[in-house]
Amino acid sequence: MTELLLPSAPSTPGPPGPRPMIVADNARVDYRVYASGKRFSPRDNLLGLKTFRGGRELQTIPALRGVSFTASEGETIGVIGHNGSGKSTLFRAMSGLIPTSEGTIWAADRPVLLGVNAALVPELSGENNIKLGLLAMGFTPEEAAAHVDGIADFAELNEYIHHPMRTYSSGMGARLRFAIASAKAHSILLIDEALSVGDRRFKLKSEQRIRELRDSAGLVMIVSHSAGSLRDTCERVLWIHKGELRDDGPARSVIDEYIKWTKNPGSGAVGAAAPKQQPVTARAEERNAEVESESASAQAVEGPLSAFEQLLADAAVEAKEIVVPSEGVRTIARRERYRRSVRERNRRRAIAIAVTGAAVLLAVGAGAAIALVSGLPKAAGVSTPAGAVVPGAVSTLPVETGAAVPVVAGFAADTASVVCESTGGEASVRLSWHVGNAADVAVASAANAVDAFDAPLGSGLPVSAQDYQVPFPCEQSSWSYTLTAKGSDGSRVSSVVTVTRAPLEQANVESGGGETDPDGQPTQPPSDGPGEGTVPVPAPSPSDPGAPPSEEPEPTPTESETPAPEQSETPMPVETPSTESGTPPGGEVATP
Amino acid sequence: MRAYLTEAWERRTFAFTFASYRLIGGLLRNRLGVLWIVLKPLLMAILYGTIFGLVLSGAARPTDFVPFLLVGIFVYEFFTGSFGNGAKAVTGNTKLVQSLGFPRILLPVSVVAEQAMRMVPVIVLLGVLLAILGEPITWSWLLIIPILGVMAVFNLGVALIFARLSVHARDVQQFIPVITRVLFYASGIIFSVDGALANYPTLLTIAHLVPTYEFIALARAVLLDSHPAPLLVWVAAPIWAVVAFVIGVIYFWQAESRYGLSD
Repeated sequence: MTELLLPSAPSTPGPPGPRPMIVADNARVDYRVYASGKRFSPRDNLLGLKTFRGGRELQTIPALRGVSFTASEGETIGVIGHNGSGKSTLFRAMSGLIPTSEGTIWAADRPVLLGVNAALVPELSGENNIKLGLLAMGFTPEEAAAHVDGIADFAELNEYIHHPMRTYSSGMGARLRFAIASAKAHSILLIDEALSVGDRRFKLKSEQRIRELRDSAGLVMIVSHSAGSLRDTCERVLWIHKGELRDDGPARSVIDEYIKWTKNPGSGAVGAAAPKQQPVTARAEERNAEVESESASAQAVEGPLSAFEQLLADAAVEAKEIVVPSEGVRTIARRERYRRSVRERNRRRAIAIAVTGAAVLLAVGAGAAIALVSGLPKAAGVSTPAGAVVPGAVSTLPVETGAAVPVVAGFAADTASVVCESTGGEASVRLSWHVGNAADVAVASAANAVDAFDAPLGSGLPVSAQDYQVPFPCEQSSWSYTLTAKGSDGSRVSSVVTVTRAPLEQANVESGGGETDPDGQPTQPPSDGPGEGTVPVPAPSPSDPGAPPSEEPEPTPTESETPAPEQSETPMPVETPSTESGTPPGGEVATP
Repeated sequence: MRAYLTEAWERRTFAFTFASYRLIGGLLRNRLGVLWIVLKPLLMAILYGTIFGLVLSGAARPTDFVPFLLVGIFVYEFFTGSFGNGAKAVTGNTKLVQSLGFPRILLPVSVVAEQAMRMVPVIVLLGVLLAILGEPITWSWLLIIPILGVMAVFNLGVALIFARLSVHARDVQQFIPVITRVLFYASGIIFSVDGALANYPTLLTIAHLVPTYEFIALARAVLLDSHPAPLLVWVAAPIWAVVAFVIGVIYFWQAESRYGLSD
């Protein structure tokens, strides 16, 4: 922030008598703008817009080129200059809203800028904007709440106070902003063309308010295009021209100079600021006319008939001239057009409402469906051994569809990972299975998947078992248990469950299972699943072993329908939802 | 710096009032109003759930996909909102900045506060959905509030950093959707990072250190039954929050006087 608080001692030479309130020392402000024209709004008062060469390069535009002055306590200073001369930039720099790029501006207190350009939040209602503005100015919430009504009354917004500010007319917005900013007495008051907005009634009121504020303020600076009102209110006037301070002196003489210049601008082009491009005179003449009309209107305001009333009268005359002759066909056609457009709009609105409603219904329906579908296996999963989630199992379906081919309908361990006290010890894992069409059943325990009849841990087992306890060697990080069922014709089907040793930290455990154990999922927690040791899913063992189970859970519909040969090449891990309600959890290897 | 923070603290009501007004004002312009707060993440969840539910397979697919996804998307929404809107906190309120003098830090603060208010109905909805989906309701669900609080601090830090960056170069705002997307996939919202990277322990540790992942993992740890978070995550998340906040405040404060210039 460029302004510094200097309590009493001025560090810059000023008039010896009154205390300086604002000291500008060679203040420069540069705007940096991309040549795309983003910042071309007129309120930024940019200079040199015409000098753009058209590229996209960053342009530095000097808005103030070194302004120095000292404003002391008790003064009322006017600032004049044509549009784009840097008046508003100077004010913003003084209030600390934008920084100076060179030089400094000192202020004895935080100056407050009352500007017509100051905007609040357009989405919010006037009332909320008042509250926000007050809070931002440092009011406590209670103070702000107490002031809201007074400000709303002053701005005369009546019922519009609850409407969003973006719906306000420019005059209403300006009234509100002025009312908010002037709610508090400030020691340095900067007024940026605040007098020239609003209707005549509000203008009088705001002038009254400014007079009050001025009495309590130490320093008032006013930007205005109205030479008349400045002459009345100010004793000193600064004339800013193209970012430079062209004149600084008693109000009357500076304003006279300014008016003289506006009538013949070519005579006094300011050296450094003289633009290089052609249309200087044309622009200047335009400006000339503009300023003249402004001063004319300013004088008109002081006269018995206000400019506004004048305008109304003019408009009335014009309206009469236009409306009367065009009563006939054109009016009817326009009315017809208007009615058509209204009908069209209503129809569109109805369609939009219907579409929105349908979309919402659809979304809700889809959400409910998903919740339902995923809720079902969840409920079923309560009775499932948690070990069924072990993902390292190979899933293959029997190739042959002979009548006696066995089917492993369920094979699972009670836990996905075993907790070991030490790496040398031995833990136990309980297996459960259900096999159909089997003449003989064997279980093997090995590092990899094997045919259980080659090295059986136990054979001649029942076709259905729960809690069949097998040892887990704790020096291994993962261990596989194979269940092989032999059919009456000698074909064999195997299913593998891999159990990992529960790591104490969630570190990665190398997967030991080679092709049968593509992924150990080491971070699978030692699950204390709700259904420890309970029955595996009572899946019906299909009479036709080649056919896929009929009830497929939603998430993996294609998995077990894949033809067997492909599956034996690419082991596909099976996860929870599919294991819970019918799909064979472990893999089945058909060995004819 | 201290005076600055003191002033900001004194005017904190401005930030919160601003946040709530903007929230209400923004919603009232839509036909469905407040419903959109919950509809948007819900639609996202349905969309991602359908697509990735079909596409994903293998270890990357978590065990209870739907609750997993819901928690991820809903919590990540908090970060996206704070991040995207926080970056615009100063540049989007130029008029306010240029017409009133107040500590600018209040603007990002109000953005994060607004997003936090948005989270309230979202979290309630999340709780209801999880209950419907059969997650056991436990006391640990209450821990989601401090977790989101820590996440808000982190979000504020990030918002502060990017609010200043986008004042220097607006291009940053163009880049934000990219960052959001990258983090979306990096934080394991639709898949299980543990499962996908199980064979790459180094990558997995790096993935665990992604800040957004950590907050999501913590939320899952307290809300879901079967997704405990590793100790690393519990430690790293608050560290991330403090680091982001301190850097953000200092970095934002250093450019305080420049914010008026951002057109």
